[in-house]
Amino acid sequence: MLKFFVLKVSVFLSIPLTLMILVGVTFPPTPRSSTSLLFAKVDKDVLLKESPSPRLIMIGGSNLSFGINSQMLKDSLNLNPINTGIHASIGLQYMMDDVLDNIQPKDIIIIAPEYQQFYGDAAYGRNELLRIVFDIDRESITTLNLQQWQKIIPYFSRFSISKLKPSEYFFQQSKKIGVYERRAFNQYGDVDIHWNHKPKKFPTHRKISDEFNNQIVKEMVYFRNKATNKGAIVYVTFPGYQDTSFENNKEEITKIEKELIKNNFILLGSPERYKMPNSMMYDTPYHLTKEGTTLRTQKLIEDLRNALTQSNFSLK
Amino acid sequence: MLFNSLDFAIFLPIVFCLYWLLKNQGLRIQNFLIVGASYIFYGTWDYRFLGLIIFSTLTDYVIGLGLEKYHNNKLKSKLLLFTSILVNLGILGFFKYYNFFLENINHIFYFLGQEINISSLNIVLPVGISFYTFQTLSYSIDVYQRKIKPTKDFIAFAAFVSFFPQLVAGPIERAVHLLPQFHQERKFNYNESADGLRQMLWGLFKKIVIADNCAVYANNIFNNSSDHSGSTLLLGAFFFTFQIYGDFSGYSDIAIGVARLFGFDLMQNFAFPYFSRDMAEFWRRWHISLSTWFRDYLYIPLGGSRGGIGMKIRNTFIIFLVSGFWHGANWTFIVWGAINAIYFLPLLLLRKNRYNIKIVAQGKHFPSYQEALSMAIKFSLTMFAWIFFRAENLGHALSYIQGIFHPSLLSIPDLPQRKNIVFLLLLIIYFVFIEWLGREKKYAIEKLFIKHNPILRWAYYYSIIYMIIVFAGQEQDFIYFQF
Repeated sequence: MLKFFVLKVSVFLSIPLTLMILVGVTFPPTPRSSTSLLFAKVDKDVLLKESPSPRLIMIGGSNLSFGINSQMLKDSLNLNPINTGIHASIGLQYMMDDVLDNIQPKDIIIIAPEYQQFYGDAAYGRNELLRIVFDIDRESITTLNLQQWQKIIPYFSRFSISKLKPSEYFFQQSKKIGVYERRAFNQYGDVDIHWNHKPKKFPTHRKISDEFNNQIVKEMVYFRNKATNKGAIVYVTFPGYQDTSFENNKEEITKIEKELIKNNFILLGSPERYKMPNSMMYDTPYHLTKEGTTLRTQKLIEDLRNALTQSNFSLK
Repeated sequence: MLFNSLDFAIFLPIVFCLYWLLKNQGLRIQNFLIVGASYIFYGTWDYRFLGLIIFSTLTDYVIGLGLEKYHNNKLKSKLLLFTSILVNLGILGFFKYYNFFLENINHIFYFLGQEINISSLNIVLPVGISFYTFQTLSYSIDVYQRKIKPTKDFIAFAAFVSFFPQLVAGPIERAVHLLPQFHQERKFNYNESADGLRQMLWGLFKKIVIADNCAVYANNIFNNSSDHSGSTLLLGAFFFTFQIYGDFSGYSDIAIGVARLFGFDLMQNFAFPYFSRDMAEFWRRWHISLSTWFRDYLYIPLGGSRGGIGMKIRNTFIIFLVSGFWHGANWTFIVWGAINAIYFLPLLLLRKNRYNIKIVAQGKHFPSYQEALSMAIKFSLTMFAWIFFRAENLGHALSYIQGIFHPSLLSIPDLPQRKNIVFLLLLIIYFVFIEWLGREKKYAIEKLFIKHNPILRWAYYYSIIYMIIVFAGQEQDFIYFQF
């Protein structure tokens, strides 16, 4: 009876499982999903490969895409900015691994992770990472570690089923560009389409309850060492974060800053300096309005200028 | 390790196969495997607190043996029982209530004009502490009352205390019911196991589709209650009412289903409480293992409903206040308990507390108008009380209620993504419909399509799996883990 039970359960589960794997692996991205912001990675990869020196590569989640004015950076620092920020749920681990192969000598790299990346397993990605590695950049699947696989597998069934939905194939793209579309990104990888929109109501972040992830700091150290060996310089800065959410997580943010200092990272500014008033937030505690983006970029320019002077890093 | 996690999806089949492969090695080995698996299961949250479980297990095991040895010596027996109560409630009190009492002492002194500043401790609440301490405590009390003989088999006892399906969120099992099962030879039962899987499936649906989706809106509305209209706040309370039911009863269904895979029978913890017609019936159907625990170990020893009116009122308030306090160290839970006592008392005093024993509309398709009205009133009262349960503090609860009774109550809820909300409401309707169909069973889909063609039955199960995958809400911890 036990064998029969195990066999029957295996058959019951293997039918949908096989179908899901087949669909997930063999079906191409649906037309609807191809318009999503995740596909901005295709354009950002081109930027990473083809932008000429001197380059300024920014690594992080949507705090960068919705919080940096790359044109300002370019004009002020005379660098070619590459904003790789797309979505925090891709996870800091993948964001760093993805850039590593494309680093060139003299690149200036700024890592600006969302604070949550340092807690729990947020740095290993979620659904968004799964979509990136299966739909957009299949080759990068080999870079995933066990923790990343653990995080993305639970989303696989949903990902596969989404490919069977008729609404994914028969839809009309609106003429109006949505903020979370590939079309919303400009030539440097920033989202500026929302600059004329009215800010939206959104919930603030509550206190982070997860444990600090020491491993991701070690991964950052590893990344810095590798990048430095290639002749680049690595800085860490902080996201433009809504002040109410900041106050809710002050202790956790201070811990991050301390850990980064302990690991000898060169910091551009401090978390406090990049705290943003509620009035400058667009639709999440990390997404800035035009005013917020300008303010943050100005601060970043000042901090980067000072840091470059102090480190005698030659751009030539 | 969450029941709805990949880790558990790997852990469960491994333990299941090992368990039944070891069947011929004897009960002790099987029990030993359960203990090991349970410690791994618990250790994935926080291995540091495994020490607490082991300590609690050892204490009650030794006390049980002591109670047997000194059963003719009243003083020694009482002393041993007192030790068990002290240890178990002491552990619970320290981890769960220490800071609460400290804060309140500070407030009282401040109120009296004296400022004492006893600083609180940074205490991490061990997962499921309220559940396993109550379970071990029930063992000592039952041995003391000679309802059960103490076990000499330490492994069986350790398995009883730590049995992973119900370790962190119940059902809180009685030693009388569960412990003997660890001494009985287990035979694999195909029907029981298949039924267990079915119950797990329905539990996962309740948790992932209903509770997790409701949680998104309930959290958003409760966390930003001052920004919302009365109608939105009402909707928030409605979503929380379904969130907590889906979450907790879903967990219980999964726990009971998993236990059945291993040949164990756990008690029913929820019996369609939202179909109750009065509050007394609701409390016979909601969190049954806790309600009956308090009934047997607190209410009845206090005299129950045998005394005069004063005693009945006192005992009712005690049991509901303690039950509220069990849920957490916050005045909101105590007020929630008090509200339920107020709901319950008139029924008790008018001797109508056992008026609705059987499930509503038994053997019929629809309830009568009176039954439907009673259910609606009872549901509204429950929903009102849940506001206190969910609120951050009493001030928040009161402002939330004030916000509901505002002219904006008649407006359309001010939430974005209305399409999604309508869809969630449709899912809730589907859920209530299936629960209604299965209300006379142990869980909703127990007999659904069971006599039909297997293809139709499998198709139905696949449809549930499809809904779990496609309509899964944002992953949330089980609410009752914090208790």
